[in-house]
Amino acid sequence: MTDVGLGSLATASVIAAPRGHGTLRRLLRHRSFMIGFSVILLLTLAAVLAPLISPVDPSAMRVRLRFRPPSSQFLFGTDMFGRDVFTRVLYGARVSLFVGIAVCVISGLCSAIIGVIAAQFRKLDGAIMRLMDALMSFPAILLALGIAAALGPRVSSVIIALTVAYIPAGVRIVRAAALTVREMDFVHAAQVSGASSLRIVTWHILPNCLSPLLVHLTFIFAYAMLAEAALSFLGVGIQPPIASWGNIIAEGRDYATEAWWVMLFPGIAISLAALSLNLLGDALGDMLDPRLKGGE
Amino acid sequence: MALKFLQAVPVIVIISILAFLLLSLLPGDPAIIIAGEQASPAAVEQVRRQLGLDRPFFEQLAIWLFNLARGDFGSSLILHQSVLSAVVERLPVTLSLAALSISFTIPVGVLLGSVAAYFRRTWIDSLVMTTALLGVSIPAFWIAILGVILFSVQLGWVPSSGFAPISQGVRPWFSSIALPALILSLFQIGFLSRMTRSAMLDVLGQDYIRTARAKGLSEWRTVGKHALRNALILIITATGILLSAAIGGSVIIEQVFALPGIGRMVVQAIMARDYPLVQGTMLILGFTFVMINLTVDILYTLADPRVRHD
Amino acid sequence: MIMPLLSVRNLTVQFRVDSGWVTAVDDVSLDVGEGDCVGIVGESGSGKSVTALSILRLHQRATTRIPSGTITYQGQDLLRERGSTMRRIRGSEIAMIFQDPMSSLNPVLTIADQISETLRQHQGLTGVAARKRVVELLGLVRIPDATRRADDYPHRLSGGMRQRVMIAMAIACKPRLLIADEPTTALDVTIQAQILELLRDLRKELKMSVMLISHDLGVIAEFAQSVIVMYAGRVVEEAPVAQLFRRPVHPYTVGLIAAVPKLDSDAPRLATIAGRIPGPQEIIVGCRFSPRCALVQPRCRDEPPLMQPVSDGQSARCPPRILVLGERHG
Repeated sequence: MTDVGLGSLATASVIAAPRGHGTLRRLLRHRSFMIGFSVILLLTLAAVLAPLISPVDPSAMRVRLRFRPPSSQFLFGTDMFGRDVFTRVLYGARVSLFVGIAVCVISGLCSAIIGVIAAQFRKLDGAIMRLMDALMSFPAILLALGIAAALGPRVSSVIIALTVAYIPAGVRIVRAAALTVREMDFVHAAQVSGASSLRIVTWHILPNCLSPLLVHLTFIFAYAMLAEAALSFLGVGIQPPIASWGNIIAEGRDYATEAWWVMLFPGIAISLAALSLNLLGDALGDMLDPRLKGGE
Repeated sequence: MALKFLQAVPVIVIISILAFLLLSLLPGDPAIIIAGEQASPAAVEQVRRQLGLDRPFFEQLAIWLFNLARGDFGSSLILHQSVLSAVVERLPVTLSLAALSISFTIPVGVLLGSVAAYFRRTWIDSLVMTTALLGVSIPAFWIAILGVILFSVQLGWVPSSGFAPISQGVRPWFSSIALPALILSLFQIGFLSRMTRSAMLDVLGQDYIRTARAKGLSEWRTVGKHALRNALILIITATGILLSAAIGGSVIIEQVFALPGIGRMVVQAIMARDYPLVQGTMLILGFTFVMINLTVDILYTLADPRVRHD
Repeated sequence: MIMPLLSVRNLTVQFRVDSGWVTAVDDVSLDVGEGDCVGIVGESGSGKSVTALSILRLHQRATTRIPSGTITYQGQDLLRERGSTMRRIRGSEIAMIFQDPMSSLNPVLTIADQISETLRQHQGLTGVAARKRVVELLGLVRIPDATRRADDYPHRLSGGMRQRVMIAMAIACKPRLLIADEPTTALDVTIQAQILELLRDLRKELKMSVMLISHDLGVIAEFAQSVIVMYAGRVVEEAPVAQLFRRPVHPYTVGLIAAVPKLDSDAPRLATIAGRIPGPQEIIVGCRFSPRCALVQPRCRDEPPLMQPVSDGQSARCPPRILVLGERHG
């Protein structure tokens, strides 16, 4: 309900958004960006190339090989069913990253559309923002929990649930940015020269809202991944035998003292992924408004 | 200020409708889902009539809203008590957790963020920000389990599960709550210190800080009075978000530490398909957050004179 | 000879950028005497504000360094004094007001609160005594309805009034030197005149020296007694005000004065100075103005020129021009 914090961020990002080749060069020189980007890229590659990296079946249970500690044969050891933890973590990456990206993209698109509509059409603005406020009145996890529980424990439910949970925040940011951009002179110039509303929105307003939204979406990726892991851990998300970092930890919890490796590695994986995404988000935010990180 | 109260009303109405719709989201017949797949048709019919699911949609909605206005949030199928009483019973646990973690988070977070902003681009800044980054990136449930293994199992400093109400004494209460609250605050401290740092950087770069120094004020007074008062505005907004995150986070923490709080109840209700309980609890929580947001808004207008009279 | 109140000698200030350090102020020297009114004029980027900030050491410590120079006030070198001494001097002996009064006042504190801070810090005034003095000061800067205004927040005041409040804060402890960095630039023209008049009257009443910095020649002409012209980080000319306008020596000063549009002129086009100000990273051997100078000679590009006296009170950093003038006067 108080838009000031988000609003000032949106305003600053809109005004300071850089364009063009200089941006790419600056990104490459930025340490946080390079670290964050490289790590998440590596994780994504590992996820995509999982079958090549580890041609073992992640669900294959070999009771004789239960509880083997990490070795050269089983990099992350084996779990209580004799499954190779390394492979499961790799395949878990697929699920977690997929959920993260899906939530990011879908909620981003929805936020952009709804946010711009809210900013453009004052009559709908009130209703839309009340709805968003209502959705934001629930902690995202609880909302996602409720929706995922209602829809059943599978990947699509988690994605839908998290998307719904994260749309309101994105709408606020896009709307704040759009409202700022609307008042800018170049929009007035476009209006005066006779451009249609649709063209103004798509060509002028929307592109300028993308900067703050992009930064926000990077953090949403991280939150979505952490939330999916939490939901799967609680049992309302992705169920075994499909591997998700969250449910691997859930399964490994009971054997924490005997087979600590089952719980350790997926946790490190989640942390690494979230860390790199947060670094990435920081770096992007830094590019947009260096004041936020103390550029000067 | 009256306007803010008025604005909250439609939000509350929408939340109520959303909570009602939650059951409609269920694919299939809600009566069968609640009664269970194995239940006989007669049992299903009984459930249907009991929950009023045989009435037309809008009549159901009307009944629902009417009941809410009377303070009736529904009854739990499993617990055989009203949702409201179930929530109130478990309130002390969740409240203890949230209150303890927030009372720790706010001073630490604000301090860390301010220090990082004041010493920006030095090793202090990097250290604080790296710690904060870790705080928001490490999954709470995972670190909670590790924490239990270390502090309860290995070191035996605190019990690994269970809640001791204050009536049993402050020490047992604190022991049972300390580790969960600490874990809960990790993410919050990370979040708050990042927000504070960003707010303080913004403020410290403002001209009026230069004026304060030009007047000969000490650094303490300049930062403490001038900078913080301005950053307070953003910090208050962040605190509202924090409370929301605290309750949300307690869902997970209560599970890991087997604390009989509201969050744990919701998860168990979901598992047991006690949908009225889920519905009612979500609604109560929703109302609570509307109230919290309202309070934050009001505090915000008090903190920023520019917003006040105009 | 009487000791000047403030004496800046060979001040050099550098900023850190990605590739190293750039010089914003290069070997600047100037004096401010007791009761003097010195104007520093120059365009954006000439280093005038940086010089002023350096006097009170208000620059960003992390990204600025002062490799050489002294700033002598009452026998002490301000650049080498301890922090606590500087804090004592700031606001009570040397005060400063800035360009944008809106952003220079804290939006969440009342006017009275902000003015009484200075009083508490340097004079130990609190409570009723402080309040009385605050209202007194507001009256001194000619703010109507001072008693009520004192409890207002900055956003309720107009630009002119906010600048008056800044002035009130600055003179609260009767400083001996007031540094005014572009005090009228953000204000309307009519308000500008009022503020300048206020500063002039306060100067007389409180017997304080004023260092006025501006890019506006009109403001300088109206207010200053002596003028220092800066270009690209260096002092290029200094003279008593009337003399400067009547007979500018340095080609930059000449161009600057010629660029001011005159109401009674028949000229079809406004006069400009060709070229642009060099950025702080540009290294120019010799005279910094040489790329743009109409009278440039080979020696201007080879060696950096020194300040040379022209007549009493006037000096300029342009040997060729001085030579010509000298020959003319025989």
